[in-house]
Amino acid sequence: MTSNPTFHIVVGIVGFLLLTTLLFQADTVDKLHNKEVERNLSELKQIDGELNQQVIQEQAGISPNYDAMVHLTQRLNTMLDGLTEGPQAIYHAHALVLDQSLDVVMVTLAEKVRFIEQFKSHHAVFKNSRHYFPSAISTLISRAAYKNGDPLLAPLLENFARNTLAFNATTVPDPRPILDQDIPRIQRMLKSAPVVLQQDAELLISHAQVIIREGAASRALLQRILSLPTSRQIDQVAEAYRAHVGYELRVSGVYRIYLYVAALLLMTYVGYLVVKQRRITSTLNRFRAAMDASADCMFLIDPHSLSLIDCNRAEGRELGLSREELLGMALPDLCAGCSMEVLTTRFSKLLSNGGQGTMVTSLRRKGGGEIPVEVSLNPFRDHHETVLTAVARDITERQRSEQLIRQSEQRLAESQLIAHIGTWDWDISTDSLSWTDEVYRIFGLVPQAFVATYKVFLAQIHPDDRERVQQAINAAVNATADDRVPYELDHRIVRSDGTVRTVHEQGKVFFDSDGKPQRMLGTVQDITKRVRVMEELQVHRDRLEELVVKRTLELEVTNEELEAFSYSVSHDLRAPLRAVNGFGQAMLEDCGDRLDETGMDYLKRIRAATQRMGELIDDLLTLSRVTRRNMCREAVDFSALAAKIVGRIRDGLPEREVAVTVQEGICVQGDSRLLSAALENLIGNAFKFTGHTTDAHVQIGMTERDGEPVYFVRDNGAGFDMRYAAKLFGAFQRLHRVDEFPGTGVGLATVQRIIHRHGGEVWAESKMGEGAAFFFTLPAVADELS
Amino acid sequence: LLRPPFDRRFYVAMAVVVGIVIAVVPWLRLPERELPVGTEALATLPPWFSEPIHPLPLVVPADAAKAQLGERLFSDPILSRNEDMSCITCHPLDTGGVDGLPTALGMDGVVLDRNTPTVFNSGLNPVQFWDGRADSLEAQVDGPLLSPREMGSNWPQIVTRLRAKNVYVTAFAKLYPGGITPNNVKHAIAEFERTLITPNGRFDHYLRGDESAISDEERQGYQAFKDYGCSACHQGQNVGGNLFQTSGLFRSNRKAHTGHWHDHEYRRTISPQTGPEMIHRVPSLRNVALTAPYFHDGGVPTLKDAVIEMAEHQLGRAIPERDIDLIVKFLHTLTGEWNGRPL
Repeated sequence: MTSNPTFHIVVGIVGFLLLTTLLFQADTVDKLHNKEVERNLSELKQIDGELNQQVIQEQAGISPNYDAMVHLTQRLNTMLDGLTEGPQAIYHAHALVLDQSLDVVMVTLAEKVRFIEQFKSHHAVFKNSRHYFPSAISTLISRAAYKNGDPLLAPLLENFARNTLAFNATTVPDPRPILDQDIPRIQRMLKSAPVVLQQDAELLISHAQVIIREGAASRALLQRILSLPTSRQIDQVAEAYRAHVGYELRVSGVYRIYLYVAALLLMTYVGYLVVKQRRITSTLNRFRAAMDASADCMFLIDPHSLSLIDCNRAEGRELGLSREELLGMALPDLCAGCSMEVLTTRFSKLLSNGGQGTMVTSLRRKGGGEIPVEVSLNPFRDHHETVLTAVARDITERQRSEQLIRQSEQRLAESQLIAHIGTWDWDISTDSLSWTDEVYRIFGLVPQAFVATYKVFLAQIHPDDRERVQQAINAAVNATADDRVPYELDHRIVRSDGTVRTVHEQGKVFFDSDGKPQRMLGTVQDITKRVRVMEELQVHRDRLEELVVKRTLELEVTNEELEAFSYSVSHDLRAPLRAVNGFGQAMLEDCGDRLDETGMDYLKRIRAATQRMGELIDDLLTLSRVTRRNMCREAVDFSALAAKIVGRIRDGLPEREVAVTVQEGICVQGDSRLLSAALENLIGNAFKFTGHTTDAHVQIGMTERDGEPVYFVRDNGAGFDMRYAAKLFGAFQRLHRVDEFPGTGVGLATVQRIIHRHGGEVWAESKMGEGAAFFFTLPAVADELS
Repeated sequence: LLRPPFDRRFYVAMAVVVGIVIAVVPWLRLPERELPVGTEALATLPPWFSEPIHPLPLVVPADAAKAQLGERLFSDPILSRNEDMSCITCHPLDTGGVDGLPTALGMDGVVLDRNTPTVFNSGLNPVQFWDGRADSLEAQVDGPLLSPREMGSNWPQIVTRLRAKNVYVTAFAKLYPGGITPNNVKHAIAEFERTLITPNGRFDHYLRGDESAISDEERQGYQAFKDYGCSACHQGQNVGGNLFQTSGLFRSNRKAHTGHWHDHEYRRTISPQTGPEMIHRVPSLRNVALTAPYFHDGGVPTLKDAVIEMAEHQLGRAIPERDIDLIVKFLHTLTGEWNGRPL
């Protein structure tokens, strides 16, 4: 809200006026209510009076019927019911007084109604008999028997009738004692009278009795009705109202709600002010705490008198003064070497500019000594006046660290000088390039003789390298977030004296959050010497390589010759061998009968040897073919291939019972014929070396090693000693005797060559007597191609 | 609370507006006080002003919808325990509002103690029943409804039964804030009974100034009625009904009742000799020609005999037969109309 005090005063006055208005209204309503009650009471009084009037009229025989009376009593009852709803807001004691006076009047009025009821009944009967009585007398008197009867009876009856009729008149003395005497006398006299007369007289007497009885009753009731103090009691109630209710605040209905709302609003407003005040206080306290917690000295200065208005605790702590002592002081007393005039001009300038200012000065300590401080000044304008806020920072530390920084800079420059490494910092947005001294030196310039720019830098670069450097810088600067390449390259520079030197540059670009290059920081190192050495080294290396290539070529030629030689040897060897074998056969067939046992044996041995030699040559041919054959890579159903080979071997060895398991669904990339040859060897071996094993079992499948598929052929046959595993794949290497397991010892060499040609690896694992497992890998095509 | 979105002019304006509203509204709402009823001068006196009998009002203020609901209740047997009796069982409206029996028949044919008073014009009586124990029609409802010898019901049962009927639930919900409650049921029935007035009898026409409405003999009968003192008790709009009187002031051969009598203190003081059991509310003579048999025990079958007995017992005199006949003739002129048709 606003902090303007006028506003709060206005709100307060409005609230006060509202409440006053409401109180006046409540008072008015209260008076109206009282008036209503008074009106009701006066109406009650009126009904009460009318009832009296009705009763009197009835007694006087004026009123024609009881409807009016009944109507009045009913109205009376209704009003009494309404009166019981007394005022609600009233002191308890006063309410009791009111209730009592109301109770009294209600009891009296109820009694009155009861009396009136009785009066009606009695008076109706009385009225009838009195009405009839004169005609009853005249009937009696008109009788002949009456005229001729006892002469004493007539005056007696007349007297009786007169007394009876006089009973109703209030002016004569009560005739009842006389009547009580007369009635027995008349009855006695009538005993001798005729029956008609007797009957008439009895009727007369009984009516007279009714008149007297009911008349007396109704008269008594009339007296009681009229003497009931109802009117006075009603007045008393009215008085009680005036006395106790009239001067008290009674608020009801809508006014009460208004009052509550207004009071609530005022309370809310006051509460708001309290809360606001509390917040201000707590905010002040918080600020004071924050200020006090600050290591800087803060103070508020009156710009005219230059005296301290407020300060934080640090101020006192630093200066060894209490806050109270400080607050009285003026600024010139505090500052060393600041006269009043200087400060005044300084501050007025500051104020007229409306800006911020700093000054370095020193403050006097209490016990002597000075503290160097940097004071930042801020004019602050609140509602009424302008004050200066001053924050004095103790710069002793800073001065010391500045010293340290200077030293360390010195050290850095020297070390750069030694290492010939310069550092540069390029602010891309402003294109300001700062070089350390060493950079200038590397470029053959006088350190810090001028301010470097990118252009200056470019000018230093050897013209042949300039474009390359620019490209590298552009690549580093324009790199997107994904492919930021480090800026690193060597290039030549041309010094002003014309000498060419090589430098190694390394740099890093700093980007802002949007990926825009901000700044580039890097080093430049003079590597001319190193480059020279490297160049010499390169010359030597090139020569060496040439030598290697030459030698390799020679070797390859030799190798090919060797292969051709081995092929032709093998091939050419077959013809003489075939001749030996053929003639051996011919000799066995044609001259067998001429040879003795020993001759036959030798001949057989010769044949066996030739056959074996033939096998050896076949295998050698196979091996050399494998080497020479062109690879034809394709997708190969390894499982099907293995199964086919197993079937073929089984056909060749029908007597063998070997359980073979081939894992389904293995596919490989490779030359199907070469793979077929390799598998034939491996599976053939497995069949062969399980020859002496019962329950022979061969397993062909795939496993995994380091995430790479590994294919294997495993048997539970003879196995081999792992010490000889290295020899296993050499040509003509055998670990078993031929008579034990036949073979040439070329098979595994062939396998190894095939797998190697596929770029794979082959190895074996075994234990003597527990079978062997041959593993090989067939790497993916990419590997082989690369 | 501390960051209001408005400036202070808004608040001041609001405060002023609220102040004006608070200040003005109560004055607008102050009720105009009506003048108390009855202060208007009796400018012209009606022709019946000095007569003991006054004509019945032509209309009685009553809520038509509630009266209609009451009419339904009046004839609904679910108000009785056995669901075989309703108000209308003893107060058939087509036979003068009475059952025509000497004393009424209650539940399971039990013979009750008193003759059934007519329901017609009963709203004009300040008290109900022969002993006047109910001071309103509403209070009267409890009597026959809850009496174990009459309808034998009880309020929880009645309310449950009524709530089971949609027609009552909706009707009560529409007409009464509380829905079906004992008091609302009573009020509906009483409201209907208040509409049961029988104005426009021939005698009422006569009272209103139509001299030709009754014959000479009937007029003579009215005169005799007044002269012999009948009108001392049988007076007012309802020709009786508005006071208590002792039965047999001069002579009585009629038995006192054995049933419970409501024992008002003031009734006892009316006639200390006879005791409260012989004090009755004076019955209304409206439609008296239709409400035979007569008296509290229904002991007299004809109007003529009733007039004779009344003269002997209450007036203490014998009336010549000619005058009796005239009075009886006069009494016939008191029969009125209900719903625009003669009873």
